Amino acid sequence: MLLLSEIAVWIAFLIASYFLIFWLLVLLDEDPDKYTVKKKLHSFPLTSIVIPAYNEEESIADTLNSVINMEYPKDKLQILVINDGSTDNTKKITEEYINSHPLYNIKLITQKNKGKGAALNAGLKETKGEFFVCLDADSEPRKDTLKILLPYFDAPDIATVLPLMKLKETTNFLQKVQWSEYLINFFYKKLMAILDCVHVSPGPFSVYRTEVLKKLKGFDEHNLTEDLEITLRLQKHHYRIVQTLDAEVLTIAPKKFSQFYSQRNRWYKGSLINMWRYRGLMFNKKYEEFGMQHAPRVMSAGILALVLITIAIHDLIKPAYKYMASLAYINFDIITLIKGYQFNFSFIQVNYTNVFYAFVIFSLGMIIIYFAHIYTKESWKSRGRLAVPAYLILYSFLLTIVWVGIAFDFMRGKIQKW
Amino acid sequence: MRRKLNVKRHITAFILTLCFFTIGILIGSQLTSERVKFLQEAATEQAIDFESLQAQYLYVSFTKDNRSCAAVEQTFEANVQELEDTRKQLENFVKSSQINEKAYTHLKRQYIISQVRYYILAKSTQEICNRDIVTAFYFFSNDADCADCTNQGTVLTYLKRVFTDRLLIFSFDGQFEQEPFIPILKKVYNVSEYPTVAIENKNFNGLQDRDTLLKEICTNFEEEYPECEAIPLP
Repeated sequence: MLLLSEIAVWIAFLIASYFLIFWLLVLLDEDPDKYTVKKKLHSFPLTSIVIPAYNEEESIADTLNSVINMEYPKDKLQILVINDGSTDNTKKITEEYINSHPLYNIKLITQKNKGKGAALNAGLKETKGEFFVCLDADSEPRKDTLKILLPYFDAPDIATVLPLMKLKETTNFLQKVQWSEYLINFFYKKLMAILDCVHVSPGPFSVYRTEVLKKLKGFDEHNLTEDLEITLRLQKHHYRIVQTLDAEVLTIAPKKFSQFYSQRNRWYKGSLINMWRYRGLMFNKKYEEFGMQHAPRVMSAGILALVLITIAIHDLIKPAYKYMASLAYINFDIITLIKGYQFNFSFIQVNYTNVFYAFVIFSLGMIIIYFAHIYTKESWKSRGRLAVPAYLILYSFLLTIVWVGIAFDFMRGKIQKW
Repeated sequence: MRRKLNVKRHITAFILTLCFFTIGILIGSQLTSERVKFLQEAATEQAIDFESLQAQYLYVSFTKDNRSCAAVEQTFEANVQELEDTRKQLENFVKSSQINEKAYTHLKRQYIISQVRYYILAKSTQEICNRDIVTAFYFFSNDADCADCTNQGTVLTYLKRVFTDRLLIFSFDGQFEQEPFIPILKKVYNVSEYPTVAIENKNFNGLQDRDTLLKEICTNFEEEYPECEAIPLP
């Protein structure tokens, strides 16, 4: 009789390989470079850059520097820093910055701590620009980022254009794993954007049409992932979201595992909650690729992760725990138990079906990683030769811990605020 | 305008996925027959090893030359251990569905019968080589509700490490009634629950800790061994 775990492995393989193959077929059919808009910006529309900041004293000045250093006329930039109830020196540093840069249109708005969604809406209220840019206070656009992004608004139904996010620094293995992850994810998002399947517009330097944001009444102030929620809302109203790979923004990724865990816990929990909220889009033909395959896949990925983890715990951890518990009956005299132990292995014992499936997933994954590095113009060695191997070995393990935490949170009814 | 759903691409992806999936299943099924072949060959070799061992003991008995006893006993121990290892491999293959039910039943019966043969040989040759050995029968269940079977298995493995070839343990799946020997043995040793350990003719139902079994094993030895010194014997 087939074990439940065997069936779960088969289902996971079928889903994972199906989507890996599907996106590789998209890559074969649609060269992402074909969708690069090389038009030069001839006129410079007024653009509002909104920087929500909560306790960002260490990075806010650098972020403001990167904005004013952009190759964009200063009289066409409106910079709004929303101090969301910071308890450090964010307000003081920003005020000093404004005073020392009187030629730039920088305004500081201070409010009680209400969360990022509320901060963005406070900025939206003050926005005069045709375009609204959300910029996280720890991120820095390159000089030409805005100039590259704006020409992509070449159709009235394009509501958002997104840059490629790269990491500023990769000082430890955790950051190297995330560096690799970002490149792969943004490459995937480029392919998804070709099929109008993008489901999240991340914080750093997403550019929106202001009138669309105002029409949709801004960001959800009570949402864990307001960036994901607004994107789903845009999808619901049939707006398009474009992902670029030629406009870059540098950001910071968590250095410590506790920070990584908190961030991902919020992201994936927010993803599940918001996908459920917008479940009306799933399997809805009106939404073409997004409705028929992408939204269901995003929702099911989380559920599948939880199922696989539960089965892994049952099939691997439970027997290991049982064995450890049995050592109590020999007074934990492990030395005697190990004495005379003979390692018996024969190749016939290996489950070659699962080995084959793992090989297929690995090979398809390596092809994606290869093209991700090509299209994002980052050599796989640029952050050290161990970055990609670290991603391959550690990423699933790290995400497993996050998903286990999410499972426990849902069981306890713990849904935290931003 | 939103990009239309490309059904052809989805069908292509689905067909390719199915191809990979089917190749994996075929590999598994091909290897299932290889596993059965492997285990059958192991069983055949073990049958030959058993006959050889029988012949060796007959030779020792016929020539009354005890000098070969040590070598023969070593071979005996190695053969019994190999039998147990192959039994565990068989159980693992079934647990991970890498072998079919029919092949499994046939092979498992062969192993049970081999174990009984080795037990009989051990007992009938005890005097020939003057072996001071203790035999133990261990009845277990593979069901999820035999929580103590893992614990008992660990205790017996431990005792085997302590006494090595002086302790012979024969393991039997008490639920495997496809082999007629099982109900016979269960009746003889009065097996009413799992795990049950029978040391020589004394029966212990339920989980037994290390010290209880150690005491019983030491009681059955003719000589005194260092491993038994710490235990106060009756």
